[in-house]
Amino acid sequence: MAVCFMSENDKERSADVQAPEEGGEKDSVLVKRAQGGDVAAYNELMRRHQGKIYGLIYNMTGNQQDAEDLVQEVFLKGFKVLKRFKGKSSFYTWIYRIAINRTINFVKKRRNRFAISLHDMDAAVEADPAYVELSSKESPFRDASLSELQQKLNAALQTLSEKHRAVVVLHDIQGVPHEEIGKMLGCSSGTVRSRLFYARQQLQAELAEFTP
Amino acid sequence: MKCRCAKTKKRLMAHPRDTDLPDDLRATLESCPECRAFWSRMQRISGLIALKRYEYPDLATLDRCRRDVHQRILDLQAKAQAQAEPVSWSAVWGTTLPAFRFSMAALFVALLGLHIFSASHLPVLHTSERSMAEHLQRAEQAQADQLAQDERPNPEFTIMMLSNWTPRVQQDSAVQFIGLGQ
Ligand SMILES: [Zn+2]
Repeated sequence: MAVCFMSENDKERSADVQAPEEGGEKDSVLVKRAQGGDVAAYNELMRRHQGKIYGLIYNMTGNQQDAEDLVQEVFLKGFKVLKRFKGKSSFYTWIYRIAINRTINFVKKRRNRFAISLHDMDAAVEADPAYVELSSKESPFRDASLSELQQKLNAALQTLSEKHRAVVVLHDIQGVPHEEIGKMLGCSSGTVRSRLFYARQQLQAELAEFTP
Repeated sequence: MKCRCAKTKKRLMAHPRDTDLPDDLRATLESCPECRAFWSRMQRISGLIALKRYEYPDLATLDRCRRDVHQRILDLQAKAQAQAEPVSWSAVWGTTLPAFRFSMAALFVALLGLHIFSASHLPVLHTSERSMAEHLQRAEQAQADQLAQDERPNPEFTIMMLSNWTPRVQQDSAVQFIGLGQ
């Protein structure tokens, strides 16, 4: 069984990221318990957020195994430094920040020596408006296979600098609002918008064949 | 009014979703083909990239990840707890690296050997010290004799002085004292 990180609707996607507490105890309560050494509480926090953290790292690295390893590193580091978390932001913003920094460092170090390893797209993609338009009778790409599209999207994403890629992944794939991205990256929402602007222009050049 | 496209495009980027557009920007898009085309391409790019959200791992992968982290945290806690508790020397010795244990044993044997070697040479050292002491004593005695020799009064002068006023017995003593009676 697969787990979906985001709903299809943009607003829902945003809400999904903003309100990850699925009933039960609030994140802040679990954080307090985990700060006192309660591993079960931290395990629950991990269960709530690991899907999104995995998605971020996976799309940044384009590699399943790297994503798996980095998710572990991020949550392990999170536990080690949890006592320093003062609750000024939400737990998810805080853990995202750790994940982004760790992933950007990782991607910078590996540079040109990496292999692409992607998950198969879920069948639900066929109902997505963007995909429907792409596979319509009028589209020159109606016969393009899903894996071909996947490869091209991933290759285009990997041409972006780490900071621009992070903004695109967070905003366009995960639906995180500009202000929240700014908090995660330690910059203003204006900077986030500006990065998104340049990243999309670059992506447009990379994916020109899909946007006639 | 002519559209200032560069400015409009930047404003459009602040509202990445079609549903977020304010009315004035929507009106600008209606009137400017360039901005409309730009907006349409950006929306399409955004929509295409968003398709990547349909790529995700299965639950088993995430469960395994979480279990691994959980176990690593438990290991960390156990290690921290062990460090906090006082440990016996035998336990410390048992957990040290073999190379370190070997080095410590070699050092102990070397020190022991040095001690035995020193002990076997102690009498020689003592003899040397005694000889030195005797030598010093003899030198001091010689020096004292020399001093006594130098300070010895003139025998004739002494007898003359003593004979003037000292009884006979005392004269004999004096003769003995100044070494003439030997
Ligand atoms: Zn314009």
